[in-house]
Amino acid sequence: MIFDPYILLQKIKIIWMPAVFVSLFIFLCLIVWLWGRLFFRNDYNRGSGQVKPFNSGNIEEIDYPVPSSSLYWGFRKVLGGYYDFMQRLHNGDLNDYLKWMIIFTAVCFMLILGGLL
Amino acid sequence: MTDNFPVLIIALPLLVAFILPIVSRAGVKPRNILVFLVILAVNIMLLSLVPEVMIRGKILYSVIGSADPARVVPEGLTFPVRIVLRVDGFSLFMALLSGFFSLVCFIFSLRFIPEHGRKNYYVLLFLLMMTGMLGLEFTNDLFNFFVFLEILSISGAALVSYRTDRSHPPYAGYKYLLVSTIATSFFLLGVALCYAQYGSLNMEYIHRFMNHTLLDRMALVFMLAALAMKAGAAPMHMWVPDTYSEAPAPVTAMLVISSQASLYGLFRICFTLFGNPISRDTINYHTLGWIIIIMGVLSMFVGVTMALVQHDVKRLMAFHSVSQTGYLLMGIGVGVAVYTLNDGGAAYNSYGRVAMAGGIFHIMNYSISKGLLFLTAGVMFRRFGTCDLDRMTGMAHRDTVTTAVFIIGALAISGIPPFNAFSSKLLLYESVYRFSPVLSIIAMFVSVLTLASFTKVFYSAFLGPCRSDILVDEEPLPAGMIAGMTIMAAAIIVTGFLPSHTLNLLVDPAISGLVTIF
Amino acid sequence: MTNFFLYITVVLLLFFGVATLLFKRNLIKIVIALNILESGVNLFFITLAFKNDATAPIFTLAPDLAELKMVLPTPQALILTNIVIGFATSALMLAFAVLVYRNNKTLDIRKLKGIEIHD
Repeated sequence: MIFDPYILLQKIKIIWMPAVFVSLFIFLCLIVWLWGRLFFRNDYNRGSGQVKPFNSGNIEEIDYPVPSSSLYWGFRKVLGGYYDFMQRLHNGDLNDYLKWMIIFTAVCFMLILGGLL
Repeated sequence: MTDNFPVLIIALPLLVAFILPIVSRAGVKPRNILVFLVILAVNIMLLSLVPEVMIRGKILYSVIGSADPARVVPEGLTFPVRIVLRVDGFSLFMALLSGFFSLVCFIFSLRFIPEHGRKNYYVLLFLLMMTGMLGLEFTNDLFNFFVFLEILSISGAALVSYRTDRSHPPYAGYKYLLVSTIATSFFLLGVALCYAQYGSLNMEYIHRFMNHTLLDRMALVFMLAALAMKAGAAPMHMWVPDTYSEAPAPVTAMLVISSQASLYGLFRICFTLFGNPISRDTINYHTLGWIIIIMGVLSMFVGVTMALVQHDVKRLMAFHSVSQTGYLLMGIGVGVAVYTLNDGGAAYNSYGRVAMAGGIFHIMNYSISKGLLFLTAGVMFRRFGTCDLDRMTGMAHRDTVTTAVFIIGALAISGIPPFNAFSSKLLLYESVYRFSPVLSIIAMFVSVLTLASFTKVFYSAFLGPCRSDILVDEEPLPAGMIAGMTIMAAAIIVTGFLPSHTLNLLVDPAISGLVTIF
Repeated sequence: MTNFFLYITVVLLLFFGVATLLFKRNLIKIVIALNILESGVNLFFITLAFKNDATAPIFTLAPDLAELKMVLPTPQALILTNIVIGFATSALMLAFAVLVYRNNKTLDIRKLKGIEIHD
């Protein structure tokens, strides 16, 4: 079966009508806003601790969110070895710029000129 | 009338750049008005070339310095002699992007860069950067390409180190110029090898007579390595985060589009110089395609995994630049790899061409989204006085326009419908899956991680309590900055809602200009 | 025959330029290494243009047309452009080195390394 060029987007053009998307979005936004104003106005106390950042249940109140360096701490900890290796590469050492280009050029020479693969 | 436009598009910013020190004696307002009018005039000239080149598919030639500019080979000779400019679909596509970016970044930097006595030099170097990009995209001559690449690099490096009072920008400018000089020296070595074989520097002449001998393959490797290094592809991408994070925000947006101009050069070399398999032993396009694909996959993966753990906004976005460059390298690499299999072009027509369309469309989508994100990083720097995400919080309480624009840019670059990168990434996923399923899975995984890192930026900088003790500058944003960002967001939304029209108008002629043997 | 030694010189110049760029740590030595690299490329262009027993490519007071043999003039124009570009690049890089020294009091790239986290 030949994969016809752009037939994918032709299929999508049947359901890709931007005017419908935008008007549907505005309509849903209106519904949500009206619903919120009617039913949830009484629950919102601006002066109480409801507007302070969430402190995961601790008592003392903080006025800063979680710092961004500790947001993905689990991911960073698990892949610690990989990230240590990568941080050493990206130090900003000027000699490394040319070193990687020479390695890449040598590999390309072997592949394109010699037909190693 | 439009016969003179290719030369005028390059000559006009160059002329105004050189008379700018005289004009700026008259004051700040005349200088701003003159430069804005010049950039607007260049954009209008580029748009007026669109019906001829894109819709009707005509290629414009313009020989500089000859009595009859449209005639490439003079009478009595069999080879072209002077510097020839050539405007085809792909050149005009990249030139439209360059002109658009110059206009938006100039409007943004009208009030973003304060008016010291040095702002005249900033505007001059900005015009020179624009000249370099437009010249490099229009030329058909290898040495002329090298000269415009050097113009672009030198003025870009001087602009990167604009804030000389701080300690880090001059070192970043040094790094950028070092990388550019190494790359262009090796590129010139490749040009010298080509000249030694064929005696001519014209790209079309070499396209017709290319024999793919050993020296030609050496030239290909040198040019490939040099232009890939200049474009920020892995494994030679380490200069990108160091340089993009020290430049002022509109200059970083211009650096994004100048890296794409180097990629334009790379695709010209692969498809125009070496794209004519007439001799017995041509280069193995399958190998060349796989080299470009592996570069792309490595860029994607390394870029996005390093971006997740940064806490400096511009460095995070610079790693994203590397990652998204990998997407389009992968797309065009698939197109090169199925270029001349021995089946008369069936694989190319079935999925190679769609992969190339996805890659070229992704150039446009990624550049506009990334430029928009760098401009919002500039707003963050202006508000908080620092680029460190640990010290930013609660920007959405005051700057609603910036928040909306950041949401549009971040969702666009992650490939969420209905924005524009969804269409280009879908084209890439579907066609690359037919070539090799593993690449498509890696691409989707990288897309998910992209969204994760922008969620981190949004949470840290925009959400959170509204504290007024960490704000440095509390005034409302100037109209120029808001106008620049909304123009780019409007471009994202328009190309997102009308993808098939954009593909037919801009990307299809680009592929026809690039691949001329089918 | 003489072209052979010229090509060997080109390869040696390129090799020394690249080796210096890979191993030296001073910012100014890196600029000098870039100049050596560009000299190698310039010499390669000039060597391409050379022919034995040929004169300069100028038509005034040239020998007769029957025995006219000139070197190629195009690489000479390309080399002039490249020399000027190399000069501009070196000047700008040395200006950056002066600014780096004024701000950081060191020119060693191993010591300038850890400046990605800044305020």
